[in-house]
Amino acid sequence: QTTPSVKGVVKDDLGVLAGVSVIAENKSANFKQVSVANENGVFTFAKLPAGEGYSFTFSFVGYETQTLSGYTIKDGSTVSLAVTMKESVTSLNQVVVIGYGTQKKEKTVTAISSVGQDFINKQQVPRIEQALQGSTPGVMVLGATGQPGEKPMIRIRGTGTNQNPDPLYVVDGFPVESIEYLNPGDIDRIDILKDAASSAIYGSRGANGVVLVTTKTGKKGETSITYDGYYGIQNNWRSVPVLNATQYAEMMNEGALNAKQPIKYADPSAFGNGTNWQDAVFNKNAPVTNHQLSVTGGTDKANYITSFSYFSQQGIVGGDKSKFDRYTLRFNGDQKVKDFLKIGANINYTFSENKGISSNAAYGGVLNNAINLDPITPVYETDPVKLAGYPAAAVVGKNGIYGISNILLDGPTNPLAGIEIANAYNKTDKLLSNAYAELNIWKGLKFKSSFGIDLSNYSNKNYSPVYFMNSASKRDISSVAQSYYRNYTWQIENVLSYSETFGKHTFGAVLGQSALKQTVENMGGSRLNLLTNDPDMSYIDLAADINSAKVNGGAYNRALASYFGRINYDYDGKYLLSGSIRRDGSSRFGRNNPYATFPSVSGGWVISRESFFNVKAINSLKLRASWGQNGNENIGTNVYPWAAGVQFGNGYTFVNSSGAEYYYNGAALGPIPNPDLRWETSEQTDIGMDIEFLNGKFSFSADYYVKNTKDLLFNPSIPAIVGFTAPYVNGGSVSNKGVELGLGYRSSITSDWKISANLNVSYNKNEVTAINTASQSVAGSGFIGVGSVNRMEVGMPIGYFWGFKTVGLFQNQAEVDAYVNADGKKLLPNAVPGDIRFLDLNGDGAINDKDKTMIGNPNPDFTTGLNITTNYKQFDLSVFVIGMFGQDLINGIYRYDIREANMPSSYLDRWTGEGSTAKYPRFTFDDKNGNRNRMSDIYVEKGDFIRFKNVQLGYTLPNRLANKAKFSNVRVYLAADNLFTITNYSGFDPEIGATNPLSIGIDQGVYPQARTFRLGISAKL
Amino acid sequence: CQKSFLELDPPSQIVESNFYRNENEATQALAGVYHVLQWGQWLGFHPSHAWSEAASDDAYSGGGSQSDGVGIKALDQLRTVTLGEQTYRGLWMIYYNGIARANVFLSKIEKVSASEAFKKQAIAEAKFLRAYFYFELARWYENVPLVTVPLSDPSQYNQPQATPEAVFNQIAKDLEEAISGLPRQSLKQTGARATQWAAKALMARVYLFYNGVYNKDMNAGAVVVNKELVRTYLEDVITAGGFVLTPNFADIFRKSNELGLESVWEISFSDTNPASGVDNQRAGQGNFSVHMFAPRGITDPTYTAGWSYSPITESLYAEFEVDDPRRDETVLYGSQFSKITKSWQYTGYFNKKYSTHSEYKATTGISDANWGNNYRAIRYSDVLLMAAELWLNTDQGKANQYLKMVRDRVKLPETPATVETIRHERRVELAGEGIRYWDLLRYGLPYAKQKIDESSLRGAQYDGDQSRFNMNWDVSKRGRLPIPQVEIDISKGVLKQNEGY
Repeated sequence: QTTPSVKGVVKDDLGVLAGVSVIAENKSANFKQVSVANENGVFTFAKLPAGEGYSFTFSFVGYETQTLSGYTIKDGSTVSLAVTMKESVTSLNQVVVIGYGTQKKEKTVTAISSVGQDFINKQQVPRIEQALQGSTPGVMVLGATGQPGEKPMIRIRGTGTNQNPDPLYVVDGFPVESIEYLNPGDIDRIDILKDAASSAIYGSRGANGVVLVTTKTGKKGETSITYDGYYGIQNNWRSVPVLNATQYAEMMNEGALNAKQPIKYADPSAFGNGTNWQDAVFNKNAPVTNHQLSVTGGTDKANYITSFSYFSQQGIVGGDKSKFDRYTLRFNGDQKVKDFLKIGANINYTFSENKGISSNAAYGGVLNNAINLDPITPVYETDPVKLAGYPAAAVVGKNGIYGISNILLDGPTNPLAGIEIANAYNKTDKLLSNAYAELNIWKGLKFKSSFGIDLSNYSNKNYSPVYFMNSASKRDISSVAQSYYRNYTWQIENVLSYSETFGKHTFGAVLGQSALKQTVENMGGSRLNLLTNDPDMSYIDLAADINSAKVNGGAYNRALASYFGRINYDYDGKYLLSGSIRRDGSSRFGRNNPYATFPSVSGGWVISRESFFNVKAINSLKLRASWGQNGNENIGTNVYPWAAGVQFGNGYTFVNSSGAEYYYNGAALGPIPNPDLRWETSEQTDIGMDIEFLNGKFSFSADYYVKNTKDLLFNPSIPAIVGFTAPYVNGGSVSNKGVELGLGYRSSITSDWKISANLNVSYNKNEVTAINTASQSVAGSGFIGVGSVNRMEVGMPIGYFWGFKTVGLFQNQAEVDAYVNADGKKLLPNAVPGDIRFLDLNGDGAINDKDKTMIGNPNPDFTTGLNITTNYKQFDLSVFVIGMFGQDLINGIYRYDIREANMPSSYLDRWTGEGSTAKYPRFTFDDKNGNRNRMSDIYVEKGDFIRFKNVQLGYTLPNRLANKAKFSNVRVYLAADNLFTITNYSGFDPEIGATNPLSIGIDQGVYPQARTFRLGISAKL
Repeated sequence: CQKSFLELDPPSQIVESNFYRNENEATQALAGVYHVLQWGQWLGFHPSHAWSEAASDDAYSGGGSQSDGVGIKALDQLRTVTLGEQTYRGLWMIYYNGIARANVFLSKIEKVSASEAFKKQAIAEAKFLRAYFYFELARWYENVPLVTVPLSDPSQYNQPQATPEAVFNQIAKDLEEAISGLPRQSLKQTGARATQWAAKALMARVYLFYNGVYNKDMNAGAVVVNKELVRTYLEDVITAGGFVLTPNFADIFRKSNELGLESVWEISFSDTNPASGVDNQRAGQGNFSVHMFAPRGITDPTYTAGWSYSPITESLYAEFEVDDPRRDETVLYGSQFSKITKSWQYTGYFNKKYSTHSEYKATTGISDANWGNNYRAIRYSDVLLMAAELWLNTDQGKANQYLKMVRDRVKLPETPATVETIRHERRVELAGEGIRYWDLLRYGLPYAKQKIDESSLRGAQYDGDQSRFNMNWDVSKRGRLPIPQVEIDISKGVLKQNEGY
């Protein structure tokens, strides 16, 4: 047995530290050897050549590098070393992931934000996109609704398009359409490329920003097993007070009296409180749970990580009718085959299933019904006399037959019956896999070739039973529909990269090629009259009406071909320069314009490295600037906008010789093709700075950007006499300008007590700068009975609210009579006291659509996030707060068009007589003045909110205790999500996202975010 | 090589260059033109049938509430029309879509490899349909661009309005050319395709409207379409068409009588290829007017609830002679239902001819958008009454005889044919069928105003403030819709707004 030359142990404040790399070096002998500390922190060098002047350098991610020098090694004797590593407070050595490579943060001159494992693991979000919410400046994430499994809305630096504004997601180099399939526990880090210079390397798909997701890789060392899990309960954080049955009856009487009609309810108090539909609808303590097991290990040559996770969430509305389950299995492995060759593979399989209920919908939305259905109707009807009159198809629930309103014969239905009949069920199998080989050709010159596939099978099953909820919501024959999609994408990529330092000059270059093809095939069918009532048996085979069977099937595909390159240069880490270019071709664009080129340049100056710079307090100061162009090829549903398609399904009912009707399938031309269609291009300039001061205790970064998107894709208004749907054309521009600030603080107050905080604030101003339609505007989503409310118009923010301005309520007849135009004619001839005084904004003497204007902006001015973490001995506490300010919302949860609909209690603040200071107009069944059916600023509310997104208290077992049970890193925690929300908004939730930029900010009963309490544990074996 | 990698063709879609090749494909394309006849919904809910009822003195606009279908609300008196109202663009778009499909078809048919007989009839059908669409369009909007070829280049998109004269002459020309190519067969024999009888009767209807409003004859190319010509056409329909009046008036609107012996022209509706909901009515084959007309909030074994549009007026109810059996076959009474929502302009009267009767109900479970009631666009009794009107003072015996035939069926005593007796007979015979409003306009604007204003008359079942029913028709708008403001904007002023707006 040989005596080791050197033996030692590495520790940090908490105990032994594994994985630290140790370099033994003897410069005079030109000797170097590397060792790594094992799980007990122990490292050894077996046989070092005897000599003097040895030094040992200890380095580890997140710790300051230490060098011990002046050691002499003698044959046969052992040098013992004990080292305590200090956590590094500077972020300069951190690495960021950029397109097709990585870069040291100190050399980065573009706007890239990163979210690390620490934060992701701490949040334990159900979906990985949520980890981006409030965590970095310039990224806005909003839950579209609180329904489990629902995709949140993400906007990077504002909304730059009227088409799909989602960023491009690239997972381990493979572009994917969404990242919902990922298990958040598998994620190592997320890097967000915000400015054009960083994202231009993604060319035609980078215009809305790029989110680079890197999954965890195996760790060298002995095999370890890690378990993470939590169980939580979710509840609604608020409900919207509505009139109880007595108040409701009184209000209806008032409405009748104001319309000079007889009252309907002689004794309102006889109804008592009536039914509280929201109490009935909200699910109490809906469970959410996650379990993850991962195994990792490796040697110098190979390492792997494999993990399994299970996530399950039930909704706070709808119980198991609103549910999301996800199972993931992942394997990531790397192998050094030869000194010059490395290969690796990532394999991810995800199975998810979800069920959902209708949300944020005026017609049929569960929460909308819960607000608007009269409180006199019972949840379950128990009166045998009434039940005798019920139709056979009345919906039966757990505890009886659901009540059917005798007051509202159409419109809102019993929301519980609505949940009962909801049977939409989706399943997705997704296999995403990629493999690479990396060749070290020469010093600093590498070639990497990778191939990946994304195979998704998506299936949907829907069963509509026979039901009767009211005269307008019913179904006489049950129906079963099933559909299947196969979505297959492959990508091949070849990248040559070079990096070398010559003295003070460092060069880097990347040259690459990429090709991608996607093919989607689908097939579906349906049949009527299911033989059973069991939703679990709702298969087409069990539907009796064979003659009603329908099938459909089709396919679409697309391809991208790209070439890209980038060069970096820096001099002494002081002057940094970078330039990139990508040439992209897409099958989705006109045959006359298949290719486009996207350039970018960026530069930086690290002032703190200049010899004249001697401000001690500042460790690092960098100024940077960038410019670039990007494209957007995500242009909606028509993937062949250049082709003149013939559309079937345009048939007619003819009769045959025996007189029987039959459908003859006919055809007509589809949208007009446009072979000249080209990319939507966004051009962005960014100026920024990064500072670190007081030994890295504080860090600060600031960015100012101007992002102009031009050639927006529109269906322009063409004269209807053309007779066919307008083609997509390029015509329109949007500008986003903004400022992003990030402030970090990190310090050890005592050796036991550490604190860190990160604050980010973003300001963005959006403006539509051109639309090439006649009206220079595009109408967005409509609202019950009033037409378009969201609107896109030159000079205005995208999706702004369009309606009437008001100036209070008429207090008396004299005021009505005095409200006249220049000719002395009454502006609102049908008004009576208590009605709204709408403004004749254009002064043309009449109140009409020309007086509509901006009454609100659904885009926030400021978004912010604050994350504070503190560790005291074994305890850790973190508070994560997000805020959004300056955005407006339309509170549209009340069905004013249904005269006897119930209403939010806030409407009690209605005009009741002269001198009333009420916010809302009088309530009347006969609204001649159009108080309700003119969208006006009365219904616009401030949407500002501050939300305690996550508050968490954890305790880590001391390792000596944990080790006794063979565990290490045992941590238990209690977390609360959405613990408090501070807002003046009066609807269900101010956090409302939308997929379409022109249907945003209208609350028609949005599924609110849940308040969740979770208890979790993680342990390593 | 890279170029072909990006040049992907749609895998499951036919493109224009690979279509219109043979008889089969031409038949499919022609069915695509017919399909537009069934459209009732685009940018709001407005089948022409429901709209022309609401505009007349036979019905109010109705609907769920004051804010429900605001565009339709304004039809009552043409007084509160909002120019920018998008629903007014809907009909405009529907008919120009039909016209464009017909234009494309007519431009492609010559090159289709098919028999001459096939082409001749196909061309005639497309021209008949184009005439039908233009007639609807010209009646509603009066001053419309005349497009008879596909507009393939954006430089052609912006077309000015043609004179009503030019448009009606084109309609006459299309019909005249259609007549010679269409079969002298019944609708049952042609399988619901256009017939020569349909084209001749439509020519008479077009002539009466044009002559009534503009007091002129039409020129179908070299052929002058005048009273004598359309009389000849109607006589041909009466003597050679083989039509008979359905003995029992109530049976006309029964399903068993679809394409029946009284049907001169009918638009076919069914629940085959059903639409998934009212928001995509166009995808299906259903008659949307039927759902619009039906009483709201009812639960009934025979009738299905609908949206209570175009409720019938007391004025129409009172027009019927007391013992006229047609009254109870025209009016569906709200009082017969145990529960009903008394919605906007509730009169207690609904359209029974086009009702949500169970026999027409879709078997798919989604009945609302898929009512199968065929629209009896031109009935034989209409042909007889048109002929009576045209023979007045020329051959009074024929006029009396045709009027008598119509009254005999419902066992009402003979009355001599006069302008007034024919107007009365048309109103009660054809009530609820989307015809009255156009008759009012051709009788003259003062007459139309007088009649519509008289429909302020309150009935016993009416619900709500009388101000909802007070009619004060704005005669300055000449009974026509505004040119859609959006279209004027797009045209950058090439399109001019109609008089009165």
